[in-house]
Amino acid sequence: MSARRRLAAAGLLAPAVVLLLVFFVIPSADLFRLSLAHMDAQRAIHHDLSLVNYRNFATNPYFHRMVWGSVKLTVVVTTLCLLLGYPAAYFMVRVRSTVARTLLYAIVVSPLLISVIVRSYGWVVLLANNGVINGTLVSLGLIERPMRMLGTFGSVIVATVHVLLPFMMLPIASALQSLDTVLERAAQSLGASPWQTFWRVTLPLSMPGVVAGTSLVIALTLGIYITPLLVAGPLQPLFAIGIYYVTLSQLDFPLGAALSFVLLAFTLVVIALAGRLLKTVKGSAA
Amino acid sequence: MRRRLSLGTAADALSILVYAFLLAPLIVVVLASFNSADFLSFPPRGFSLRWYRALWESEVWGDSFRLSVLLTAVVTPLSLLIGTLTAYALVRYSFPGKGLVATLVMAPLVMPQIVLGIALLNYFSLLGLIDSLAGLMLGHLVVTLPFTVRLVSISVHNLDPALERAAQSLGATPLQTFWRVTLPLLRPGIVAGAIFAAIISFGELAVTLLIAGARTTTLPLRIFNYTEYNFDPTINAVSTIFVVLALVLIIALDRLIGLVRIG
Repeated sequence: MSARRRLAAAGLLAPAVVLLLVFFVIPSADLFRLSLAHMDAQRAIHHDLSLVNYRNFATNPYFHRMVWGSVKLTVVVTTLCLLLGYPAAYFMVRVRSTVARTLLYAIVVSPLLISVIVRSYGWVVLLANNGVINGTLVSLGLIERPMRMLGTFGSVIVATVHVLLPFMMLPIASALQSLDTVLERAAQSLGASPWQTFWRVTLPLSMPGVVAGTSLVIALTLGIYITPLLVAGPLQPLFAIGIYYVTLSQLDFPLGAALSFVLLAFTLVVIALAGRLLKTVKGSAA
Repeated sequence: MRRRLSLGTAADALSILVYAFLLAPLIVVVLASFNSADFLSFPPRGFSLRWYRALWESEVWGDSFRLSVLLTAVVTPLSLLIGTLTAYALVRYSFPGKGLVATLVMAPLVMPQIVLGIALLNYFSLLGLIDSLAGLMLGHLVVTLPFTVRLVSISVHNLDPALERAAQSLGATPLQTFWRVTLPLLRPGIVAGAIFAAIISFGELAVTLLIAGARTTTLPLRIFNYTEYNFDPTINAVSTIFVVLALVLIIALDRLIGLVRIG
């Protein structure tokens, strides 16, 4: 029986495992092999197991600027998502009317159902020189000629926060939802101010959602490239855009492969740290 | 007391601004699609359906639309089939290496999309699958699989194995049990999985941008190309279709599993 069940499980899993081995694991392994090759001045690729691309990454100030840009973006975007997303998630979970709550959930979930290209394009319409914001300000006479917004780091921040905010809000909302409001009322009836209740009861108990949302947003910001590419172009100093540029414009595949693995390593470290933190937080919240 | 009240009010006001912020770019695109002007202009010149007519009559947009629909129609059932089998096996069976398989199935979700795209770009160039329907299909399958597995798994968790045993003890064959008992009970997860797989495949760009080409310009890729190189207000009309589609699916998802449970 046990052998038969094992066989059944193997049969059920075979399509997924084969698909992922052939079109995920092998491509990734081959990309790693490529990252150890190098391209010479005549654009010929030598598979010589060298670390020259990784050394290039470590010593070239161009890549340091990219990493710094991505770190800066990640810190700003994650902080903004947290500061904006927490109150908004709280508002959504605690609003009294069921209709209003469903509507707010729809607003948060809907961006996940709309292609990232459409969401990012909306920001082009808003921020362009002849776009909605400049158009309004000029016709109101508040500014004389359009401000340049597209292509700036600020436009990348705004559009990225917009794209990633739902990933922060949904885990926080789900943590707040499972939080028993009796605990908050108990704290208040024992004389805690609303502010104290929030700091001592609500926030600590919703920490698993905060940690989950934060780590998701950090990992996604590190790798985001479609949105910044659209609002700020291929020369914006960001890690993922650098990979795109090196691979598709400079056609240096081995260097692009090495940069990909550096980004992957960063992302895995963040996820591992978050996983550990999440365990600690869940342990102390329980 | 007054200070507390103002603190709560400030948080509520901030929240409402956040919701307005989330909606703003979508509303703006929808409004712009009815603007009669030739270029991006604000305030709008007048109401017009000319961009929808232009979209309807355009051959290139039509080609992209048909390609995206075809791709979604192929990827969704395949992803759902493979995802359902995987979810069922991972929840119901225990076997050595189960953790490894579970990690493998979710791994494409963890990998930054640019890295997955570059890996497939390199691999597909070796196999001659760049700018091909088969390449896009395989790429989209890898991207959608974690979502179908995860959504179907929720339904498998909720399915009481006693029901399947009861059917079998009443004389149903394993196949009959699967069709008559298991599958109908997994319906909410399967439908939600189908919606997510379809929506991801239809809107996918991060991996598509790297492995598609001139012969396989999907709808999102054409929007991207047009935004970058030649501005065309028809993009507003296309984008509005995406927004309307999302509205329809939001209602479907709410009826099906409740929006509150998606997060």
